[in-house]
Amino acid sequence: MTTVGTVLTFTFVNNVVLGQLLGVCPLLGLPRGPRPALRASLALAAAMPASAVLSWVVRRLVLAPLGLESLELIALCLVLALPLLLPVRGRAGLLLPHALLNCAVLGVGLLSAGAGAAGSLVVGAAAGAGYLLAAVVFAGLRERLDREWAPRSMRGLPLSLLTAGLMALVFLAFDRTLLAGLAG
Amino acid sequence: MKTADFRGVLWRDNPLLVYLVGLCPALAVSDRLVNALLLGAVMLFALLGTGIAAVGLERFAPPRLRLPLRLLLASALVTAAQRFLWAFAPTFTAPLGVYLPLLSVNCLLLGSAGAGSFSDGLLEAAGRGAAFAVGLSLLALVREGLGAGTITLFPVGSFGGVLNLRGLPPARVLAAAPGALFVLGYLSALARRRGRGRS
Repeated sequence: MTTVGTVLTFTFVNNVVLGQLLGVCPLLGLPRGPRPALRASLALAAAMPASAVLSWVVRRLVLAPLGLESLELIALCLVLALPLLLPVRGRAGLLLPHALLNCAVLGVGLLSAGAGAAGSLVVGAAAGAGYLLAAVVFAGLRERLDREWAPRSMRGLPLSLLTAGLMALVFLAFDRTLLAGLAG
Repeated sequence: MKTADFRGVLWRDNPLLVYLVGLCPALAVSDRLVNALLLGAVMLFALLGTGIAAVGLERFAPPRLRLPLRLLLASALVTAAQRFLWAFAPTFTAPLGVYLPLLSVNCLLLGSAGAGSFSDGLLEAAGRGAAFAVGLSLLALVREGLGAGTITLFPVGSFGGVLNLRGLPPARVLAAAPGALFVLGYLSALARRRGRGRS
């Protein structure tokens, strides 16, 4: 796959959140409004390319020479767990586990298998951009929906899920061949 | 944890349907009932394993090391389950894809409290696992039944494993990614309404 193709696939056609349903939990926990949501999701979006590249390093330099490919998951989790041991205090220390230990970050590490070094970076960055896009639009929608009336049972998380579902429906409209044609 | 609490966690306080914990793998694989049952079983296994170890972790591990150790343990258990399933049931495991290993970072596994006695922890883990499996199966039942017009189970003897529901034109969107979010949204609204009515 070309670089443009990879970016289009992971950002739009198969958006990490809305197409592959990875990272729905952090999306539902975002603060309202595009700006706070963007600030809150930057760490997670940055963790994705880091996880993709690190997973390539682990796979290529540690697991493959030792013939331990079957332990890929444990090795990746070990890598993700290491930053938790850093002496980080205060708010950053609380946010670190949330930014690292979620399906989106580990999922990108697992999905980028076989993409090569530069390929992994591109996949990770495209997935991170896809997450940011989904997060900003979603938080903006939620902010507006908060002012509308809704049945009591639907308020909060159920309404958030339906909003995300409608967004996913919109993202189904992105067609790979169409986008590739537009990009040349 | 009493028996009443155990029943409550299955529906009224279902972690998947009411609190929406541990969503990601659940949403993606709930397009076939058989996938949901398998994932639920693996989750129950991993929860019981971490539940047993959590007692030891609380007692002996320093607080800073608890979360990393729990993560490592969860990933080891999930890897074991993954190898086992690939060895004995590859055709059922293939559709789970990347979502089976992703169970290891599930909030339900990492976030469960390890406080209390050994039996309490074990019961709580069993309750959470069963609730996850029940919620996931319900989600898959609705999605597959309405989205594809079939219900896929394990093939036993002359039964091929797939039930066809006649007379329902399938709403394909429910089997696709948006459908997972729609169905879970309505199910969780329903579960909340039921829970409020009873308490």
